[in-house]
Amino acid sequence: MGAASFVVVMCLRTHRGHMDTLRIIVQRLITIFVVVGVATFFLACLIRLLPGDPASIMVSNALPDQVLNIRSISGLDKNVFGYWWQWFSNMLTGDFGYYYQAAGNNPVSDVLKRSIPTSILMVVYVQIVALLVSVPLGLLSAYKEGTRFDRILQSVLFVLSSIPSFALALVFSLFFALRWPILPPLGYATPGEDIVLHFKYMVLPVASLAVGIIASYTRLLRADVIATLKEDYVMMAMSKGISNSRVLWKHVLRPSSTTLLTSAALNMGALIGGTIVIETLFQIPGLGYEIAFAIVTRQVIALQTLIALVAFAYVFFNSTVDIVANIIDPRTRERRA
Amino acid sequence: MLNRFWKKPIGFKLSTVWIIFILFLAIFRDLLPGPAWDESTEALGVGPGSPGHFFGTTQDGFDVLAGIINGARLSVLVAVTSVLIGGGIGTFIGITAAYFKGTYDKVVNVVFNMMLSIPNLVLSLALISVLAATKDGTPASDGRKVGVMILSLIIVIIPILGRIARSATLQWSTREFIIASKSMGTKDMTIIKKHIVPNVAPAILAIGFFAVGVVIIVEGSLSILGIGIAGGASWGSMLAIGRSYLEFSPWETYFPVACIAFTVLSTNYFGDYVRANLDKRESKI
Repeated sequence: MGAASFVVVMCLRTHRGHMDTLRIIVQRLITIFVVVGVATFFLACLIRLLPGDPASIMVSNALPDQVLNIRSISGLDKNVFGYWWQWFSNMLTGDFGYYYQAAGNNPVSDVLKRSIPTSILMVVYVQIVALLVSVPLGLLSAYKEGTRFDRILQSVLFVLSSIPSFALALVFSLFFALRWPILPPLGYATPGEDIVLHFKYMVLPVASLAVGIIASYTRLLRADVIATLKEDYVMMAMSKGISNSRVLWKHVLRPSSTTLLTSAALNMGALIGGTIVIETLFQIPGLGYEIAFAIVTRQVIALQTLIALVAFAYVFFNSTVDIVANIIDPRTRERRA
Repeated sequence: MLNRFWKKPIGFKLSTVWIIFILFLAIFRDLLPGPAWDESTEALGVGPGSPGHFFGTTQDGFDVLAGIINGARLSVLVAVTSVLIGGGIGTFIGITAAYFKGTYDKVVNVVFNMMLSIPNLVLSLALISVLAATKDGTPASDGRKVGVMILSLIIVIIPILGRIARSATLQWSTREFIIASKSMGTKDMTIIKKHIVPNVAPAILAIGFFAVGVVIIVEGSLSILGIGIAGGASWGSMLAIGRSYLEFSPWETYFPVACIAFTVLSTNYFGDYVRANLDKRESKI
């Protein structure tokens, strides 16, 4: 919502080319709709391709009338188009389907109420930590371009960016939870339950996800800062006698940060999907954990919804970034034209 | 050739040595001495450096070194076949789409964007859980799982390399020499073969190396989630078993994790190296 109102305000404020911005927003919205529509249809086809009846896959030893019941609630008795449309239009009205169990049907939305905030919190922490570390590191490394410090840092960052997050997670949990038990090895508490415990549970998963991202952000920012440092106005600012750190933070950082911010925003969607393994390793009940759980318990309908939500988040962030970047920096518009 | 190799940066040498080592293990697995990977011994959970068990054994008495050697074969098999086949199909679709344009290109673009809108681990999870499903709900055999995994990863790789091939071709297809060649009446396929492919190949090669890393990480992740290859037959499944015993026998987890990390590091290094040299060549033009 914040992004949307921001876009509207910016539209009203820019006189020049606001028709252009509107057109791009409409185009993007259509793209979101088409891509999400096609992706969900593809998922619906996959469910229908399952060997055997999805209803009896979900509930083992289901009674015949229970199977019939599941088939009519979920739309499995319709053809694939009807099935997809029922599922898709239900999701638009907030009905996310059910976990079908022998004991009864549990709505997926109950699980979403808990898992979406958890995943979003985790992703936001990862982003904050990654930006806090990588911005100073990137500036410093660009400022010292070609020195020994820069070269060593680049190699270290390259190595860190290549190590899978689950490898880091296993190393961290051995050292910081088992050998020196200063942090809990697994589990989760919501901030409402116990804020201190919440952060304690979050340290290891966030650290294992953030390391690789810090490495890639720092490299991105470094490249842009190096290019900006060659601009004439930087020379001008320096020759006026402004201190180096002030020039870096006030004059260089902002124009160099577009690529970094774009990729940070794009990472939001990707991270929600990418946290699956980390959430499973640390037993954190987020979206990724629920996806893995749905697979293991063969809840195909719930699984289909969860995957669709991840895809939607990803496409949504992508498009929002495009629109916002376009408004902030009109040069991208000219370049594309 | 050797002379040129010694002049390369240290990272290049290390990566080459590591990759050759892994390929060697994968190919000559059966000729190497040591205990069998799937036969339990009496030594349960002994540490690295024990007599007869250089990397130690697991809590169930399996030799870790033998497991690593055996896992190398599966990792190489899955990574190489899926990237080669998926990359081949993706490159073909990407190049032809960008070259011929029109409706074909638009459809390809939407399909690629759609597939890329699902994170690659989630996409392979969904594909495997559907493809490996059996009628009565029993787990699929390991052989079938490997096949399904390769097939799913091929589908995951196609849009990744396809999009790179498409954007690289779009850049090149408006160059003067292509237009000149077209106006001389050269056949489209000849232009693609002689002018487009050699120019887009380095970019695809770079991303292809990254894709190998992606595949190896996805394989490990799938095993951790419990739907990959089971029973310690791959590096991922070794660490999936070992992580329950992290406190008692960490070596069970560390050796496979280290192998995964080194292999991804090496392939990423090659990818980075190819890309850096690509930029250098471009800037000379």
